[in-house]
Amino acid sequence: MTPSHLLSLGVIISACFFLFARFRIRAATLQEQAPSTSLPRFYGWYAAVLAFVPIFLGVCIWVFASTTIVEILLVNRLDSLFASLPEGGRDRFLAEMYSFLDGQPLRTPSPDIAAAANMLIGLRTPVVTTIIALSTVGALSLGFLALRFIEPRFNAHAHIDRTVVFLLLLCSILAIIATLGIILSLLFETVRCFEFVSICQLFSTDWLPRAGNQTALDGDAGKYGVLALFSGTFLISFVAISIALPIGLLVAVYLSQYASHSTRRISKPMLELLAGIPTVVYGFFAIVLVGPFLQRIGGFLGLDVAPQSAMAAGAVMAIMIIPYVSSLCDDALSAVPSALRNGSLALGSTTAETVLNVLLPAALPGISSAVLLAVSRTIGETMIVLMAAGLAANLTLNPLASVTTVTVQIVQSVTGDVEFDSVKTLSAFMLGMLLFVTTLMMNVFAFSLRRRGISHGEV
Amino acid sequence: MNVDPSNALMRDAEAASAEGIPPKMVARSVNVHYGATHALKDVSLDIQGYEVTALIGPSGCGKSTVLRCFNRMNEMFENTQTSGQVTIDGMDIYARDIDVVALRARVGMVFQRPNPFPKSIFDNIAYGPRIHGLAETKEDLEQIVEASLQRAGLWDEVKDRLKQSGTALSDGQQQRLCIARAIAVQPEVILMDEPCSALDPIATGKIEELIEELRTGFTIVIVTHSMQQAARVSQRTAFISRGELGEYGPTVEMFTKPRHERTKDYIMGRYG
Ligand SMILES: Nc1ncnc2c1ncn2[C@@H]1O[C@H](COP(=O)(O)OP(=O)(O)OP(=O)(O)O)[C@@H](O)[C@H]1O
Ligand SMILES: [Mg+2]
Repeated sequence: MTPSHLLSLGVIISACFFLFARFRIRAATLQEQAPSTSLPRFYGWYAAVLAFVPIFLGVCIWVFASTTIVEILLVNRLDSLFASLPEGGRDRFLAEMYSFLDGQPLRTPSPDIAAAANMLIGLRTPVVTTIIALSTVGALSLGFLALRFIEPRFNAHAHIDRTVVFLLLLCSILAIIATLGIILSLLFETVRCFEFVSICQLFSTDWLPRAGNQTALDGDAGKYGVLALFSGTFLISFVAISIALPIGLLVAVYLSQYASHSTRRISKPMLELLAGIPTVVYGFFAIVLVGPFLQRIGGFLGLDVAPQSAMAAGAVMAIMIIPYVSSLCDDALSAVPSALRNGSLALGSTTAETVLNVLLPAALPGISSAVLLAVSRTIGETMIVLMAAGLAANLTLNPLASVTTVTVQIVQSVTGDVEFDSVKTLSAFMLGMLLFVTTLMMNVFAFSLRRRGISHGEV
Repeated sequence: MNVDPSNALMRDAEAASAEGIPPKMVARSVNVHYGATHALKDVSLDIQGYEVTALIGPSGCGKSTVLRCFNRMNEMFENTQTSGQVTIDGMDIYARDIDVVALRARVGMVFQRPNPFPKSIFDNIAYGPRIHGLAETKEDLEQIVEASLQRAGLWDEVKDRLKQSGTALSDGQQQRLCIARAIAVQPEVILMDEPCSALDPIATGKIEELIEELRTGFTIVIVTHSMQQAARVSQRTAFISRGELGEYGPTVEMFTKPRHERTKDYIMGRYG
């Protein structure tokens, strides 16, 4: 039997209770000659949901906790054996046992390990059986309990309503918990990183992380100045935004004010298609086309353009975010009450004058928030810069030079041979945390601007 | 009673021209379609200069549509089709070579809900003159602003806070600001679409006084839901029902002895 079998069993039990309960309430209303408070199906749902809860819990325990339970039981049995092992020996023993169980032993197993593995297999069956038995018994007893409650005066509808609200709440809490978990794990690793790297060290321009085995040779942990990384990130964002904002805004103005209904219906989805292209394709496009193109242009003008440059990465990223910017600006322009637009047109101004003098000022909060959201996207973008911007940490304002970004260095630090406690790896978490804080602040600011824009628009 | 509408229209048109002054604006057999909706059916209407003409009728009958025919604002909506002829001082405003922007400078409009721009009071008024280049110097502009606000009876209330946002005024003040904004462009005609429906009785009274006063300088067409308002402010009244012109004539006659049964029912509040 697997967890999914148990789940199916639960569904069957619930379905039976649904029918029982519906039958019961019908019979009860007939017998007592009193109408029931809720429709019969709500009594059915009430019993079904109640019966399903133990099964659901059982499945959760089986999936998420049974391995741990079995291991705890095993460790209890083998207490004396582990007492004789050196420090850390227990974890190594268990790891070796699991790989033996997977059929990929690290080396020929000692008899101890084989015996422990057998014991583990032996323990699994009673644990699983207990889980199945307990949840089935629980389901049946809760189901029958529900049937006892059922009578015409019982308001099943209200109970179901409350259950649904509870489920919705549970889901949103899960989402929040996941977010919190990510933030906390970032935070812990960042704190660990600062055990090796002082905060002052961050404010320098040299970024030279060194892997653990290199550090072991000469005791040098590397240099962790993030200024050049952030300057690279912002330089590329700046390039991308200064290209994408004018174009995106003009597209939005055209689509929302000038385009006929049919043009809009065709061109808007086409534009949004751009948003669906994987960023690695954009990166490829940057390397193969935009980079060499910029170099050739630079050659004509007598400028020195690096093969991988902030300009190339920024330009391609601009193409990527144009649909995003234009759709947000479109929203901002459409949120301006049409009364203002009509008022301006009725005074004899052209559409262009209306856009310039009335719509854009009124939509400014929305447009600024669009810019901020777009900036935080460019900051977090990885693939394009990884392919098109380069790896050298340069502190420069020259968009034609090769720069590197925070995201690129995160990738560099955690790919390849990774030991999870070297400073190099920890520094990736630290960068991630800094990046998270930066974009979070921007998004919060952007959303507050947006809210102000919307309340403004309702006047 | 079954009256041939075209006959009635002919009589109305004759009644107007009998006074000897050619009408300011003329609509002839105007039809408006919004997509599949046939909103106006063969409407013909003469608007006399320096008079207030009221459009009354049940909701959805096409009063706003008639109004918007005169400044071509119907074209703002998708799939709108207008046929027939509308002239202002004899000039066909739906002719091919007409500049809509210039037309709207001649025919101003005030909307149902006050819609001041989220700019200062001064900039609200100065908006039109700036766009149309009506003021050469800053002094000129200030003068236009002051004159328009004076004319709209708002000057004394706002002269010390011209820099404040127009949206910070009360609803009644905002509506008078919108009227001043329309006046500032020096139009010949002002169209008003239920200008008082969002206002309290006192603010309404002020606007009605203002309309009475503005008649000396402008031709005014006003849509209203209030019979009393039509009776108070207008010289002529057009009753529109189901997209057709039901009856048109001097307001006094319309309210004392309506010619058509349906008009009578509407005026007595029995229909609509
Ligand atoms: N933008 C539009 N698109 C489609 N149909 C419209 C549009 N505007 C008006 N209509 C239709 O045209 C008809 C006349 O509308 P109009 O707004 O002129 O009526 P109204 O007399 O001003 O009504 P109210 O007194 O409620 O303002 C109505 O049936 C309406 O549904
Ligand atoms: Mg209307």
